Amino acid sequence: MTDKMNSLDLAGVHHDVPAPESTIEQIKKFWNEEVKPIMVKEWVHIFNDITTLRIAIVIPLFQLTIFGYAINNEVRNVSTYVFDQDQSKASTQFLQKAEATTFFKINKFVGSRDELSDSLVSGKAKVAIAIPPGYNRDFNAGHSSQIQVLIDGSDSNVASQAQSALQLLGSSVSQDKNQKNRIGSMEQSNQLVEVRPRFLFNPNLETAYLIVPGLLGIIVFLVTSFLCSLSIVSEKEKGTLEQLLVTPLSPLGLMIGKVIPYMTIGFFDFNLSLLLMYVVFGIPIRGNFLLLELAVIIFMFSSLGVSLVISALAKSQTQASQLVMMQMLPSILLSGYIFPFESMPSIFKFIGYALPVTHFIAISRGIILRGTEFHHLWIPFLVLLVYGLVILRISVKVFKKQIA
Amino acid sequence: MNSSQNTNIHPVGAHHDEPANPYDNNVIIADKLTKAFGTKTVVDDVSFQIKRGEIFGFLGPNGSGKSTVIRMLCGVLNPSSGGGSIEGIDITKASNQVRRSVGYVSQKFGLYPDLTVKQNMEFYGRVYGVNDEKIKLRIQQLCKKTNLTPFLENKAETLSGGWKQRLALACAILHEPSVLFLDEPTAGIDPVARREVWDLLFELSTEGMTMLVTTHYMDEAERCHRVGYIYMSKLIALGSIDELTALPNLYPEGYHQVVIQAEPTMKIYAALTEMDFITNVTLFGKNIHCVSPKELPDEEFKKLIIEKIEDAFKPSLSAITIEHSKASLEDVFVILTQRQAQ
Repeated sequence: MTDKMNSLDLAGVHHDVPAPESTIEQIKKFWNEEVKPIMVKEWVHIFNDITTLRIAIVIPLFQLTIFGYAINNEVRNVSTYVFDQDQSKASTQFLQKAEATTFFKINKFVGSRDELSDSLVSGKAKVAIAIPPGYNRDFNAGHSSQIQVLIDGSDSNVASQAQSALQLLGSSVSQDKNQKNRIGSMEQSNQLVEVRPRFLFNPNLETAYLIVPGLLGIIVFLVTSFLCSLSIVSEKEKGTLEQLLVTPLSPLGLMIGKVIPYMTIGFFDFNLSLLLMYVVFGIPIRGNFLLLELAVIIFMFSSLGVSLVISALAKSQTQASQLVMMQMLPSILLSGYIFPFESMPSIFKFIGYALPVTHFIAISRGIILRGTEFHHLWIPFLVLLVYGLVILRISVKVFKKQIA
Repeated sequence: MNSSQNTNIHPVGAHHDEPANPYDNNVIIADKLTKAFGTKTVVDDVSFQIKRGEIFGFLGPNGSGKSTVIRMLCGVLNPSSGGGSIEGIDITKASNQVRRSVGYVSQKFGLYPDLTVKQNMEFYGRVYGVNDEKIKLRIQQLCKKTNLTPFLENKAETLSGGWKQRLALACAILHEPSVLFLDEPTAGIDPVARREVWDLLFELSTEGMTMLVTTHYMDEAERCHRVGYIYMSKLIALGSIDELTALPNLYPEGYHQVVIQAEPTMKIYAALTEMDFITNVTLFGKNIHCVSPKELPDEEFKKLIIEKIEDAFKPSLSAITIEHSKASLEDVFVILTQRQAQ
């Protein structure tokens, strides 16, 4: 053994007096002996961790396609309801011209003013056009006529674009008529068709009306799914989950016990945000407050269900947060939270409809901004409920399988 | 399931009405336990019985199926075939009842680092349905036993490995189970703490606690009343230490082992491994264990080795001692494992 020790010492002595090296050799050595081993090891880690690798590939693809295709500041296909009291050639022409802009998509003709305003409250339409009786006559006679338009102001972006599109439409229809009449009377170049838009729900077109009620859903979603999945995965890491499994606790009891505190936190956050919304942004809740609270509870079932699935799949807290972030992205971009749903390509609409948060945002905007009643909201409510039940069921299964 | 051991397995609840009945003392029974995940059999036909108050050492390399056996016996995992019982309760039929009568200490301790010592104990008490008054009493009793009293209000993360281990043990037995499973309870803790944990285990054993302990430490295995050795999902040895080391067919017929002490040990060991006539050479500190070639009598084997060593190391050689030896527990397992692998 002593022999060995000596030789080791000698080696050490040699090391202290290195032969003079050129800079290039030093760099080479630095690369080969210091950078390379770490780098090679890191690549192995990255390729071993399939989840991270997938995320590294999926996120840019996702972002590029969403930002490139789905997000279109140019608004199109805005749902439009029409109350045509004239039913004439001129009114049909006006409406055809409106549809030709691709901005408006006429979804329904209604038979009364009440139905027209109802379509806005329920959220089925964002633009409601009322053509007055005698429009054809006035138009042909060269008298000016007024077309009343109601615009849902809660999405300030869509609303202001609708306004300019309508005004453009009005003057273009007038101009056409003027050109035809030009031979007759040159001096009659005034505005024949006057489109009078009125904004409902958000008369000043404040952006906060668009952002805040939608943000409520995003906040609840983020807080609950993040905290809950991290807490379960951390039990996995600590080994306490393994310990809990040998106790008489049932997986269902364990899950519910885990979920309730985060539901409470989510509920608290939601109400705090509502308060701030009123105090800071001055946005009141027009509709039924209790209905809104019910909606958030149902919504949290699905967001927490998703987090349970994530926590069953993720091996570490890092992975769990990556997975949460991954579903955050479509939830923000495709849910209609910022970018209007109508102008997205149908594949993204489909993804958007598949996200629970989309339906919650529809409910929260409806109740808060437009005072929508339950009979207009039962579809998103039902969707959220079904989602919640299905996801919870799946998560119980995945969870049980994971721990068995 | 048609084996004679089947008679040892009692139907669920058969003993609950008559707790005084000293039912044949086998508290833990594994009967042809088998578990397959897909096509992979991780536990294959494992049977053993553990008597009341016995400390049973469960040994085997990592991945050999020890933990899976424990999880089946705890009622967490259903066996693919075979069965077993804890205190006469069928593990496949009443897993919930089984879990209540079993305590479990894992290698990872299973403690909540941000909870205090007391909060950890209270939590595990409640999970097992112990009422608050009883929990209070049990915490007092267990603190006395484990000396945890001064740390009661400290967070678990501030404890050192040995103290964490005691806390894990306290949490596992707070609900007064009669059976305790310990999965590598002393991995990574220092020798003094290990000794203390074992003292605690012996104390529990004298109080009638039945224990199954997995370990990689041979000295710990030697403290167990009986050991079982599992390898590649099969139980390949079962018995007391004396029984195992005295196995007549431990070495194949005609082989035996000698222990050599000589300086310079490393060089002699290296030289011996080069010698083709020796069946197996293993180093234990300053002792070199050599297994003889077939049909070579003890004395001749010794003489041959001395000759060879002297030839090679004459000038630097110190005194050689060489004597016949019985197999150690580790020898037993190494030999059994090698044989099974062939």
